[in-house]
Amino acid sequence: MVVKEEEMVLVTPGEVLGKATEVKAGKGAYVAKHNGLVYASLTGLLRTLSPPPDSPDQRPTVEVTGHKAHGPVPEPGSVVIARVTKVMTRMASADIMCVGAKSVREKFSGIIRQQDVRATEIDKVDMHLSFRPGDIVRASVLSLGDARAYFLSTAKNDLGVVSAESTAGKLVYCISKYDLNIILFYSFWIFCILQIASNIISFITLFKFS
Amino acid sequence: MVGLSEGEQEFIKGGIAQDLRSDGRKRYTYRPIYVETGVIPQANGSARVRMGSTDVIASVKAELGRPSAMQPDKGKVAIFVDCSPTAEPTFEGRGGEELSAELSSALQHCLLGGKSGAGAGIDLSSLVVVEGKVCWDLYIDGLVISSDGNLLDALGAAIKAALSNTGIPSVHVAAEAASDEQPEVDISDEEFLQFDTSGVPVITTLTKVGKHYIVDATLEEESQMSSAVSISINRQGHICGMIKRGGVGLDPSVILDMISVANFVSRQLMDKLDSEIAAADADEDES
Amino acid sequence: MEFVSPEGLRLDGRRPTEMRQLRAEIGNVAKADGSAVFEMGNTKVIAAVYGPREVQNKSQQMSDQALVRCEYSMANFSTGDRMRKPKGDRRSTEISLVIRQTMEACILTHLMPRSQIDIFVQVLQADGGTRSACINAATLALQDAGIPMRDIVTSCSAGYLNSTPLLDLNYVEDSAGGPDVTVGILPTLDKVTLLQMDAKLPTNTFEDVMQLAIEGCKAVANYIREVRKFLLIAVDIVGLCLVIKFRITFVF
Repeated sequence: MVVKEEEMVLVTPGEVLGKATEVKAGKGAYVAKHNGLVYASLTGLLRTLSPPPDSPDQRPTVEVTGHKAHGPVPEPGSVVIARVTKVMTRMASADIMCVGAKSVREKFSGIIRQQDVRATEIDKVDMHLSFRPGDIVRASVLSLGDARAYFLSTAKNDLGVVSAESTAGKLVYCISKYDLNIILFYSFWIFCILQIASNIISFITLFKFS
Repeated sequence: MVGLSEGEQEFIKGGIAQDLRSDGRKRYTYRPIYVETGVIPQANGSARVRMGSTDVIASVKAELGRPSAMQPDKGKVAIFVDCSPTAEPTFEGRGGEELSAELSSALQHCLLGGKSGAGAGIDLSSLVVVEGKVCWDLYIDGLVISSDGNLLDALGAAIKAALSNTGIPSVHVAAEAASDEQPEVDISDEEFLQFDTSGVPVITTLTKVGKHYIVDATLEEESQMSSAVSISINRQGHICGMIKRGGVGLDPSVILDMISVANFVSRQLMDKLDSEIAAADADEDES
Repeated sequence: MEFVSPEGLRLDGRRPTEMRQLRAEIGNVAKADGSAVFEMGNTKVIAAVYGPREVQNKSQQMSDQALVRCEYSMANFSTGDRMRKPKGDRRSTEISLVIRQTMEACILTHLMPRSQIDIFVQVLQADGGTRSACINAATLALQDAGIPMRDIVTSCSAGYLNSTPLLDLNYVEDSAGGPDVTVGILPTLDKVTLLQMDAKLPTNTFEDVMQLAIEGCKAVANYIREVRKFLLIAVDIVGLCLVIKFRITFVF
């Protein structure tokens, strides 16, 4: 879509923008069914967008852009960044922090169900091995979900845990969730070995000085 | 309440430790203060004070009443604060009552002194019309319209500005009535007595975040406080009232240090406030 | 009592069909999504809008439209005699309901399902016509919050005293016991959304009074549209200046 004219026309809600037979209502505009007129529903600048040349509907679109930017709201299909808050056997709940590149202004909660964690072997997923509270997850929004939370999915290669804290308290990044488990596994062993080594060293020093 | 991530919390604390706060202020700097007087023409005196996004209105209404039997030579002053839900949706219904009650009692402590009224910042004996029989009752109402921290100081400043704007009608007492009767009084419509506000203290709240304390904390900074001390000091340098809030205990030496800081800061605040009040009064006279 | 002098002037010097002075400010409450102050003479009202946001009480959530809530409160100092009334008395509950229903009718609630919009109105000074002032302030605040609406709602009252229809009653005229007709309209769609009257009035007189109130509403609508556009331009100019300033600093 191309912006046809950049005129500074300010409108307030209820102002007539045109006939529904001649223009399409875009954002910030609506069509009144009883008389077929297009009205503004927001206060802001009026813009007329010409239709794409190949579309069958050759009506231009009118839209009103308000001056206030609203916080982003997750919608089906959008990619979000979320922090895992609670892991249960069949699902994990997460707080959505970013929608796309924008951080949200208010709280949105999401749920990652067991069947949405990965694309293959969906019934063998162990939630506790996949997520831990505090993990930062990149996920896509499946649907608006139930009344409480959005349904999120990580069943794609570019989705999943992107940042987490290992048991040793260090920040780990990973490319896929399987890597995370491996890193976690090894870090645990490295931690144990270090622990043993330090014990031995202290034991030796103790022995030497006594 | 404010929801802050760990990083944001650290940022606020770190900034305060380095004497450079999130909005660029130093620890003992106030946000710009705007005073508007006479905003409520129906009241005897009123003022609106804005500090950053904190916005409060105070009004003073005077009514004739009877002095209490305990103190026949003193008038009465009552302070009420109301938190409007416009400031915070959680104040809806009865949600703001707890904070309102806390602020009201804190202001009473800071401005009115104890039960005897001896340490009051407001001169109560100037409110008496006929000793033991007629006196002025001052009703001071505060309203929080927008809240971004430091409500107590803002309300204190608004009340001071409202009092300086207050005109109490002069009263003519009719010929001496019998000692047990209520004397007849005639309230003048034209003559007003200006209220002497030179003794009214200002309230300075020092909020302790980490090892340091700051003045005029925003809502975000207040969420990180360990404790706060509100000190009301008048022009003579007398402490008129003091309240400590917050969970963590304070070392007595820290409190003494805070008092000396408050003494210094409140002097600046008082000068700033007085000049703002004078400017606002001049504005009002013009219009 | 005489409310209209033989010269045709009212107690406060207005003509019968004259409104009090209107004044509006927008964006007073920094934390709210939208806010406005509206003054009609000595009546002064502040409105703040929060939302659309998540529904606080899940049981009230509606899956096909937004929940609109409203709370009306009066400051202790708003009336001539100081009052100390508990919150939520019958009168304020009734006005809250009236404002809520009026605003709900004009908000495109179906665009924001499962969300909640809170409108808080606070009366700072009451001098008659608080209902109207509240609705006008709420309209401005909703516009400021960028909430989609069918049309703006404006409201005005009219009365009938000394056999003269009077526009925009003040407190003294309001408490004179005559009829008080409060009308709210959608000005472009030309529809009445709110109509309240007390006391009795002959039908043909009522028509005149209502017509007068509608004229008042239209005057308010014109004022609101002008204010809104003026302020919007002002915001844009400030924005433009900032952009230019930023560019300059960037170049240097």
